[in-house]
Amino acid sequence: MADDNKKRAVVDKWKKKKAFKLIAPKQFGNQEFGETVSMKPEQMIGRTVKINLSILTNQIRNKNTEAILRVSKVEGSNAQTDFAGFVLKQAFLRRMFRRRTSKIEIVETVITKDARKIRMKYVIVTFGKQEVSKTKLIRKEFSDNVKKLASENSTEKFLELSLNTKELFADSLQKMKKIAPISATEVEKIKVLYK
Amino acid sequence: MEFNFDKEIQDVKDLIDMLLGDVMIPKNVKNILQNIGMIVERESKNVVKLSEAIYGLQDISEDPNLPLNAKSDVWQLLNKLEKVKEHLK
Repeated sequence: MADDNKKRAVVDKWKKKKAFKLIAPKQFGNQEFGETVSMKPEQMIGRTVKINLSILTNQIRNKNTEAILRVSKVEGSNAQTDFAGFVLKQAFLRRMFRRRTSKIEIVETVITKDARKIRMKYVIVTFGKQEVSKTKLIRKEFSDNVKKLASENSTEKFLELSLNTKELFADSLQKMKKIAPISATEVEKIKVLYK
Repeated sequence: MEFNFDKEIQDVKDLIDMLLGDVMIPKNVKNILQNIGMIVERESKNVVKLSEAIYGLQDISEDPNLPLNAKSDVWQLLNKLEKVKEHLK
């Protein structure tokens, strides 16, 4: 009996696993950026990987953003990933807020043109402390604009738009100019909901 | 890795833009950075002007008022400018 138990314990699961190459999404040039291991290819679908965006785009200005990539399909030893959102680094965000400024944080779930739900959190920082009535106006204007933009664009396009906040909030910034001076806008977190 | 002149210059410009947009960086540092930005924009192939920019950056990097995160960015800038200068020689 004792001998039998010993034999069973030797089975090494690690040896059964195979390595798969992770391939970046189409908008980042389908390049290979890493490896992952799995016993069966089906087990990998839905796995998420975080990687610094500056490595994928080769642009230094994206160094404060971490992209979330999700494995969508497996072909041979290649695992194709989809762009499923991004997160800003906390150290960068903390530097944005100071004393005597108003920080407006908005969290909401929007629905895109291809009926996907996206949960996003964005922050607006003003010059000087603003009254509550003004922050309420800003919150409403930005939220309406984002919802409208999401319903007009596909998921892929909307994620790309939200990488460049100046473009995403261009209309709202123009409108809010007269109400309160806005110093910075940033999309802190954005995630595609698959369930 | 192969040296790509245009990419390095673009990176330098991006880094300078990022530093100029940071609220924690003191004004005197921003002024010097603005001058360096202009040199890179107009005379990126002039070795003498680039050396001038590098000396300016070295002065900045010793400034005690500069936050640590910005300091590492300034070092990165220095590294890139030195590379460009070596390439032009």
